[in-house]
Amino acid sequence: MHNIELEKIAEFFTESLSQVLRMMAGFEVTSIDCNQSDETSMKPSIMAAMILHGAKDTIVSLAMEHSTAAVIIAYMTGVLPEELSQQDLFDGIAELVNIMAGEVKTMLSNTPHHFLLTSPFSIGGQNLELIYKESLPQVCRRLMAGEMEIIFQMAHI
Amino acid sequence: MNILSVDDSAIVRKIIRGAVEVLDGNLLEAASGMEAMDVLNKEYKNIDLILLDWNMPGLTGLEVLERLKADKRFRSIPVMMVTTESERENIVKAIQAGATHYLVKPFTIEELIKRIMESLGRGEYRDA
Repeated sequence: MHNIELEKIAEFFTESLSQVLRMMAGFEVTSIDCNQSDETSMKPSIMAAMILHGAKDTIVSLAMEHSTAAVIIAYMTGVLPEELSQQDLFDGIAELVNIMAGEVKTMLSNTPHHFLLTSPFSIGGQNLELIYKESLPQVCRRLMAGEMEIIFQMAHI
Repeated sequence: MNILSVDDSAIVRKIIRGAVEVLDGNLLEAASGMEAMDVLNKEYKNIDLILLDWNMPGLTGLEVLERLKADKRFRSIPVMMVTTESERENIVKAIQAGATHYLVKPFTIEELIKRIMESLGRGEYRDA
């Protein structure tokens, strides 16, 4: 379901993520609507999400392949990708969601859309996909940095 | 120099470890407020600086800070908040509770090193 307010807030999130990736990992990120892009061959194997408590409770999530997570976390920590453990990747992507949500929380602090953070969490598997009921307001963006791809999703729940 | 990092994110502690190693320091770690209190009870005489996250399960960073400042053994150890909480109101709360510095995530390693040096009163760090 299309929702203009959610679209605007999602924009804050993707801008924040771009800024975090630029600052901590040196990546330039472009973003497009999932529905306007070609079918992706990316098979997410790691996902991190956070529930935001506000007037409307919301879930935000990032999904990507392990190789993408490893490169991002390697840049963030200065540790070589092959030296990062599985736990480092789960923890790092969850922290990315935490940082992104923290920034947007501040941006929206004096607006009707203000929210509280909760603890971010990660999910591992194959071909991960979050599917919300069609009737729920939701946004999906594909974020690309070179050959790396990240799926950002946000939905009121 | 001995620095205690209190953060429930292992990856943030790893980033901080990288910065502390550049400064030839030693990092002690705690993944929660309660763990931090345990480390402090044993090691407080050797700790030069505490880097404290805000949002953690159990005791929040602010609650840890309040406990530190209420205990004369720990009161003089400088505390830098390292957190995603960047609302002015929260920054003021932390400073009023006794934090000496406040660093908002995300940050670069260079910025972190600079702020650690400032918190320790050791002047300016210059990247080689």
